[in-house]
Amino acid sequence: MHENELFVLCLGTVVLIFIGVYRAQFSRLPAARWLLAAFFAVWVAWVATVLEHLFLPVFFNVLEHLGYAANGVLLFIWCWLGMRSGKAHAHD
Amino acid sequence: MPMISTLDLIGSLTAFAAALFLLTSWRRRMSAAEQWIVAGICGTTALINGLSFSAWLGQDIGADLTESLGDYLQILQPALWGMFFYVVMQCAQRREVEKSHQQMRDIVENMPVILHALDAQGRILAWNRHAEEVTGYSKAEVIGARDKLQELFPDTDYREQLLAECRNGGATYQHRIRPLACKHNYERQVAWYNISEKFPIKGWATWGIGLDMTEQLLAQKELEHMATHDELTALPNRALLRDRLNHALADAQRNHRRGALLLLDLDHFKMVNDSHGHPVGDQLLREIGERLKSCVKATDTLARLGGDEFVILLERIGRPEEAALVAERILSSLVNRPFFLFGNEVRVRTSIGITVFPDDDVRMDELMKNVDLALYAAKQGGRNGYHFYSRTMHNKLRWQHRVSEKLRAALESDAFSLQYQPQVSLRDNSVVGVEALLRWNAFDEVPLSPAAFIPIAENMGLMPTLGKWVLQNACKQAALWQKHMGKLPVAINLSALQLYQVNLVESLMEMMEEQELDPENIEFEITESTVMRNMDNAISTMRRMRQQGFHISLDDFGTGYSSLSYLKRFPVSKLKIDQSFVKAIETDPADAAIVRSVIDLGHSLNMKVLAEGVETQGQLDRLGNEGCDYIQGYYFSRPLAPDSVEAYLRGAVH
Repeated sequence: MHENELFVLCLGTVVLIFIGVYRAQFSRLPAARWLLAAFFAVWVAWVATVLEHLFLPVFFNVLEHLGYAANGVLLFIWCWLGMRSGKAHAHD
Repeated sequence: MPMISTLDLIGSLTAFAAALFLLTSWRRRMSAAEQWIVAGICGTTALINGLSFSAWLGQDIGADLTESLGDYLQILQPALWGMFFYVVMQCAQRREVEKSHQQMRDIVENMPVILHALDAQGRILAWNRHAEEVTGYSKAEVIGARDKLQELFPDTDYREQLLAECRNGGATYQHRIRPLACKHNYERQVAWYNISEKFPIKGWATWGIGLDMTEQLLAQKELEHMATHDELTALPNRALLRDRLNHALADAQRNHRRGALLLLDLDHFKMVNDSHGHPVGDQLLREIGERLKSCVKATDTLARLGGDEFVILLERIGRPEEAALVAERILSSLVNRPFFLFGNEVRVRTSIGITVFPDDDVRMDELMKNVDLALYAAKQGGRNGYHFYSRTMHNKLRWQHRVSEKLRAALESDAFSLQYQPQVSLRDNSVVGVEALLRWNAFDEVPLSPAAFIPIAENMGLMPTLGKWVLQNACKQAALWQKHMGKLPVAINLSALQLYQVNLVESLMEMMEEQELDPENIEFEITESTVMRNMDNAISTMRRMRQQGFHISLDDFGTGYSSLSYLKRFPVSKLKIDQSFVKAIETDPADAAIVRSVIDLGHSLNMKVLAEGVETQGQLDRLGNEGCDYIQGYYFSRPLAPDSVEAYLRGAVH
């Protein structure tokens, strides 16, 4: 296990807690659910990165890559929906 | 592993596309920081996936480099995410504050009160829409302009206070109504609430809100004016007069000064309304108000109490004669110059009552009563004049007032009675008739002379009722006597109102029929002055009465202004010499000569002569020597109740 992977997970978890505490603020972002889902996907990837060194390496490796891919896809969807949404005027 | 590589490829491409979206289409929807951070997130995601995919393709850029780049990117990614969410939160909070400020600005701008804010130097920083509308000054003209404060706030004290507040930042939540100068030289009255250091906008040393009270103040003034002034003439009304009189009385007592109250009432004003209409009457009152104003000083109070009553309060006079001078000036102003109203020439006469304070009284209500009594006296004194209040007049009028109150009650409760005084023939001492005399025990069974209460009844308009009552009861009694005792003529006094009543003769005949009474048994006593009011009419009525059989005698002969040339036309069968001549017949040769002349005159005109008020043997002898026909007086009998008359007639004649 690399230390930086554990560090990334810790950092990501702090961000996750931060989101949980201030979720009301982020809900004002356009299509916020997709953005939060994207973060959750990458957080899952960070968890899988750590866990693959402990057990079920193949499964967690696939989950890691799946998380990163989902992150990219969800970010794209968020951007796309946000652009299309008439309500999307986050910080003009 | 193709699946993982596929996932890496998908993740890399979509993240890259997302970054492109963000940097192109989202430009206007996010702050620059947010935009770049999220683009960084997308970029790192794309790179991480891209590195993984390139490793699978075998396009390795170097194991060490890939590994270290991957490590950095992986650490960078959560850091960027954290940074992004933090920035988003900050932006959201900042946006809330800005939104709140904007809402506040909108409220300030649109609230329906004047708002101004000043900086520490007294320059205007804020000027809302309502302020623009009220003053006519736009924001551009006001905001930041030097000396605008001086122009807008003409009240120097208030302006200085505002500037002090600007310098000191002292809060004053004080309500003040001060003028606000507007464009085109007009002013509005504004209620200001100035507040310092309480508004969360930078640079505002003090700010104030103002409520335009001009309309309310005008309405309030109007209401106050309406409450204290007469609507028709715009003169002070009773309420304001009382207030000023109160002050004047206090001042007179405190400073040993003298003042006067004049009450003015137009004589026969009702006739103006009746003959010319109310618009003319109203206009007359207005013009009278104007003329009266010219008769008094600006410091005096001229008030209208209502109707045609005006009051003048002279707050300071040296002597009572000064009040008389004002009264004369008023009489001259109103009476000597006619009013021309809507094409009508109207002349007025007026009576004025005057009371002087503190001489007459120091109590307001008493003074008002006094001046009322003085006016009453002025009217009784023949109108179109003035009369000062005096204690004697007060007592007399009070007494009259008491009598008048009792008089009305007496009529309702049938408290009057008739007494009959025999009229005796000097030839054979026989009773030739009786005179019906009205009696009224007004105060605790003490009889009140008709001479005392008849004028009051006349003033009160009770004479028709009273006269009718006398007539009916006297006729009733005469009918009774006619039935039981044969002929006993009853003399009844007939008032002017009765004599000039249109259907007098018809109603008399109706009464005779009702009572089955012979008109020959009734004699009407009419005074000279009554006949002289409208001689032709009176003579005509008297002739008709004579034709019906009534006897007529001329009462109080010699006291009036009758013309001897008319006397021969009167269908009168008897002259009654007034008791004032009889009283001094023994001592005053002039009275004796008059009595003698009247007797001769009566006989010459074929009339009988009766002397009233005979009380002594000497009077009786003189009258007998002069040839008088009949005698009436205490010498023979005082007025008697009907039963006593019958007893008197049955007994021996004195």
